[in-house]
Amino acid sequence: MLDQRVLTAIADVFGVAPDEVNLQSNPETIPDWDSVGHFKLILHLEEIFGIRFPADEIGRLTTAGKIQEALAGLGVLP
Amino acid sequence: MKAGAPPEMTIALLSTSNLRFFVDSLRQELRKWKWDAEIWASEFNQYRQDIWNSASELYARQPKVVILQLDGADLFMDVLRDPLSGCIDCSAAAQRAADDLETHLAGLQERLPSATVILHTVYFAPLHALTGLEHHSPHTLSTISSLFNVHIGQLSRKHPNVLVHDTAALAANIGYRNWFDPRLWYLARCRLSQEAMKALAQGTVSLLRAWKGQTRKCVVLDLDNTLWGGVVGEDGMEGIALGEEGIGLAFAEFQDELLNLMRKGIILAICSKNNEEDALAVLRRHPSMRLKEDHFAALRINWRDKAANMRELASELNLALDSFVFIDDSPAERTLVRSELPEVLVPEWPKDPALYKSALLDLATVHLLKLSITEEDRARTSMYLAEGERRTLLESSSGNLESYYRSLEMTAKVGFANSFTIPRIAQLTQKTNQFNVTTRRYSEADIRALSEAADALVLCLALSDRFSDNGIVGVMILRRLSAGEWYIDTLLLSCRVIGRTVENALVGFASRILIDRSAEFLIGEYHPTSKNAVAANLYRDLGFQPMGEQGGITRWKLPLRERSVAIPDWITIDSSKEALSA
Repeated sequence: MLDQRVLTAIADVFGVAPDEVNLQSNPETIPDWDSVGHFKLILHLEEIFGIRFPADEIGRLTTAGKIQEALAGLGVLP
Repeated sequence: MKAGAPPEMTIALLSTSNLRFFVDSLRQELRKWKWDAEIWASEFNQYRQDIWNSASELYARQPKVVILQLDGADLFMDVLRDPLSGCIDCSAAAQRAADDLETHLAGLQERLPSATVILHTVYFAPLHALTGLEHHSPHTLSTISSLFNVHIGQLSRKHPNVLVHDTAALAANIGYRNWFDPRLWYLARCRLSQEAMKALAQGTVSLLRAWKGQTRKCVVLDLDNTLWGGVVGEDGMEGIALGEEGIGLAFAEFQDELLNLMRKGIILAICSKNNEEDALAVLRRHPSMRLKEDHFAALRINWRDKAANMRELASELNLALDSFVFIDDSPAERTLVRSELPEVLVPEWPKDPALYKSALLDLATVHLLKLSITEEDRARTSMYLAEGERRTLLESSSGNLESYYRSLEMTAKVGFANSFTIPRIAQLTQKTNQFNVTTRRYSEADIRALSEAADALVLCLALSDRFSDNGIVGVMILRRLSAGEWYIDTLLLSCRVIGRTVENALVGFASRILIDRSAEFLIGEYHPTSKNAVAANLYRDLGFQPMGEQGGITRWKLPLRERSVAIPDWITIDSSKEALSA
């Protein structure tokens, strides 16, 4: 299951309905998830969770699931 | 904001680094202030091409504001990469960059003459290869940024439409480590952190609001635990915290900053619950009070509710409630004023007096920002105090207006706009809402252009009386429609001289000038707004003939050969060349 806060963040940043967002969501399935959109999402998540992703990781966070794993790795998600 | 209507203005962003994310921050900040503006950001580092290509999208968008954000780290990239190479001539490097900027600014202004341009001061990372060598050796980076910023200031003073956003100060205020996010720089070519973008957006909109005159005019203050610590009615004058040591100094320094606001033309007033004699004793005699009785334009020291007192202050000072800021340490009083008078800005206030001064400076940067100081600004408080004396005189003249006018001993200096008076004339067109028949807003550049135009005349009037010199309080802009017909584009009076027949003097003087120029008709219009009802009957009262109404706008005509507007004989007119020359 995708964490509710991650799901809401993706829906808010890209302006899509929450029920269209799941663990597999990625730039192919969400139209506004381009390179600029990706940074907007990352900055938004950093603000919500109070963390900072390392620079070399940001480019690899290419699906909602990978984002969730990275947040778990930073200790803010189970 | 009407759906489907084009936005009121476009803001263009030109930059050396990526501002795509900043656009969102700026949009949010504009929305907060209900500004109907569209933002267009060019690709980063394209500003040269944008400026020199007349067919670029920049010009197609016709922006009213152009933000030229040239980052120091980009402008001086070569120097920063290898600051030890040879002995760098800092003044030459700064001068070259400034000359280049001036050339680009000229290209921009040639194609967009009426746009407001915002330049940014530059800063470098505080730690760099020359740390240690700086100040001990000829090697220096700080000299480059300082010199370049001096050049930017000179550009702004040379071009009235050029504003400077002091991003160097903004970055220092939030701290460079918070300002610069190296990840965003490496991955997205963006030199601002998320926090920096928010601060920059807020600063940009504050600057534009100050430029448009949308700032607050009056700060109303509580006394106990606001201007000093403790309650004077209980602790006595000796017992309150106010002095040169400890927390007493926090109150004294807070007062210093309030006094500085007053010196810049912000009106101060008191609204407090105290015994008046206790409070006045502190104002008059406490050795550490920086603020004295005559620094306040009006006082309400009593036990009535503060909302009622604020309403009275608004009417006494002749200011709309949306010009007021109210500072009070008590959450209950803040809540009351907020709910009774939503137009008044009531900021949350820190519990700790040590934070009062910085809270005031934060507030002033957003709501009380001044970009220039006029003579009128400097003298504003004393003018309000003189107005109080005038009111006493009027009350004692028991309704006989003519004897009141005569006893004021008014002198009006009248003349055409010149370099001394243009800044104040522009300021009056920006700020005057009440006695203003058309409410047309003009920048200094607009006024200068009008004053030089062959078919327009810009007149201004300065009024003094036995109590004070009010400075320039009246503006009249006339445009020639045909050989014999002139149109009153603008006619306004500062609210502080309403009800003293100054309008008769100004229009009377203008009629004389026009008759000398063989004019036959003077046409005026009244454009109603939510604030200018006081001027609704102006043309009728001056003897103009109604020409009808269209879409709420009434049109009036004065046949100058048959009727003239008399200059009241209780106002002495000085139209000598020297009258308004300094």
